[in-house]
Amino acid sequence: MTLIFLLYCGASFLFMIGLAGVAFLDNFLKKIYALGFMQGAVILFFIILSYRDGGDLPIFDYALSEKVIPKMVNPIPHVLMLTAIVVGVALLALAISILNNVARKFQTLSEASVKAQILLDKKNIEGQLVND
Amino acid sequence: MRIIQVIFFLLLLLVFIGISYELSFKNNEISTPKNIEIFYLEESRKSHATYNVVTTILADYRSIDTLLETIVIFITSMSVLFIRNFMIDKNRQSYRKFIEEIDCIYSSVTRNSIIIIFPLLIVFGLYVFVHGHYSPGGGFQAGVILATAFIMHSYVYANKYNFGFFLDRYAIYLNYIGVLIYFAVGLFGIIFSSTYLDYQGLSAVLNLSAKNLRSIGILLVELGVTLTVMSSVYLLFRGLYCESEDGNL
Repeated sequence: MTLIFLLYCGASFLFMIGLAGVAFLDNFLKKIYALGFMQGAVILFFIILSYRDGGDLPIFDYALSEKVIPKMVNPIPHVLMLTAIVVGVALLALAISILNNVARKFQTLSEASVKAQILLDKKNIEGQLVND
Repeated sequence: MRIIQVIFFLLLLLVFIGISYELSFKNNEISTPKNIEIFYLEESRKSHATYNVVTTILADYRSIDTLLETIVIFITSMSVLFIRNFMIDKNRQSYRKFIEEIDCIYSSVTRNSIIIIFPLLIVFGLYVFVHGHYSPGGGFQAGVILATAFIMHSYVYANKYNFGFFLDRYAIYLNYIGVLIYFAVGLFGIIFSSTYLDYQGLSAVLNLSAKNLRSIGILLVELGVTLTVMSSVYLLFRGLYCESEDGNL
């Protein structure tokens, strides 16, 4: 039950909360929020991966005194996660703008209504084909 | 059906907890291949005047990745505007109707507090941008903070004559100018030195030592990133906030 094990468990809990939100929620906008949760959990996982016991910031001192290099936290996952955050922002913005088109077509934001409308459309189309 | 889904989720959670138990023993040994982080830390100590190693990796050792990142966020803001049919066109009829209606929503409490918070946020954003060399910060973070300030301002102060602060007129231009500044700093490397984005090429314009040239190069590159990210996030807000043409959603 070390601290690092609990931190990893926290990241996996966040990921599962996000995944459960995407699967079980009814409102499409809330599903997009749950996607943001999953993104945050993955980024947190990489940051915990770069941690070291007794770790220090990867920033040298003003006096350039001997801040020990082997004690510094690994800076490379931090750099990669900056890229990942930007990609996540782009993804969420485009998802919301596509959701706008979906909501305009079906006039609703609920998954059950969209499913019902699609099934109704299918029944009407099948009815017409049978009649023809 | 629901019970099966819940059981599946709990099993997946147990798998993740098992993986974290295995990983938690190896945290002091996990490193990037061939201990490359030791290489980055020592090299940036020797040949850079910036103290923040994350900034030197982002803007000097992996600067092409950062250039492509700014292009990604630039393309995202433009495509959101295209999907919404460029709703910031001020002569559209529905846009004008939308602006007239939102004049009276917010109370004087929010208006008066925005007056106090807005300059503080701008100063804080510029602080984070300039101190990217010496503390956690840099271009991306400062761009988002500045965009937040302008978005808050235009929530409250929009009326039928302007939708917000001066950023509204120049946001698309600033979006392009940020990427062009980044691109131009790279071209200095080709013209006066060896490779693209080699900051030693700035020695033709400035007369400084190698360490300080790299610092100035990183600062110019972060300036481009800040302008692009600020305008892009502001344009994302403006592209998603307006009403559509026929009034439905």
